[in-house]
Amino acid sequence: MTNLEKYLNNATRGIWGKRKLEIREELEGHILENARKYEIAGFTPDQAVTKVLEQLGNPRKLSFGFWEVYMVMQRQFMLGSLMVVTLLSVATWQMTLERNFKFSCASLNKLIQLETQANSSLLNQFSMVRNLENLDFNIFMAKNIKTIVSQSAQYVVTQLEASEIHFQTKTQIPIELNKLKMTTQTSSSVSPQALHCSIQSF
Amino acid sequence: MNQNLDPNLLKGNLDLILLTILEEGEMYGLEIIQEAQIRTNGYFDFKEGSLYPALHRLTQAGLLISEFRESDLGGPRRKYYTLTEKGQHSLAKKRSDWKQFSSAIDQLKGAR
Repeated sequence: MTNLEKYLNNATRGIWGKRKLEIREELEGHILENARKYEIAGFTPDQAVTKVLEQLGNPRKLSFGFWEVYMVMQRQFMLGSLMVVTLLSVATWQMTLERNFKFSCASLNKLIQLETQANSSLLNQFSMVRNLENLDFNIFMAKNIKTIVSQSAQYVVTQLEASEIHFQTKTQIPIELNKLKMTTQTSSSVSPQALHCSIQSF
Repeated sequence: MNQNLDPNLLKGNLDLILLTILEEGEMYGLEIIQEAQIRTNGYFDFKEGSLYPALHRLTQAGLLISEFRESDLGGPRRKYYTLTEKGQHSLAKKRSDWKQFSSAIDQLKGAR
């Protein structure tokens, strides 16, 4: 390895890729062109290069100078990027929280509304059965009520599942949904006699 | 380097010197050094190694643009530097600051 190559290696230490190659080419051009004037003055090519390298100074100082230019800027860029990412994350997090909160409130309100409608329908049916005071007919109506309860609960579940439930986190909505699903299953499996007992106690 | 020139003074005003030289037109590194020596009769004979990081810094800051071109002597290409519009504004500002500073120093002397 020649003195020139050693110098160029040291002067570009810590710099990588295309930038390193470009700095090497720029410095090599400077050294070789400047060395010509010493060759004309009678120095050998090696002596001429050595003279120019002396004028350029310590290659480590040169590499530090380049390192300061590129690495400091890269660090500033990285810091800037990190801050932007952090701010975006915080903003997204806040927006998600806000949206989830709004969704939770809206969903709960909707759930309550649907439950109220379902209960109201159920109560009407119970009232009808109670007023008729006819056991056979009550059993018939009990079957009908079972279907109504099942359909009402299923309707609530479907409505909520069809909505933007995927935005939901572990809040009260899934718990309420599970309760409703259980109601649906229960009401589907309840016997007319059991339901009749319920009607009687009502 | 000129023995009478304070290195800190040169270092502190290196950007102003380089931008002033490049105001005349595009030049490559060695040409800038020679131009500085010629125009100041050897007063600005700065260490050549300090020149290139400074040129790269000014380029990164958008005050200069650079372009490689083939050398008429053959061998490695030369990297030419040109002052940008931002560089011209920066030069005007630095020049104004320098004049104010120099004027303030003169006023200090005159106040005695």
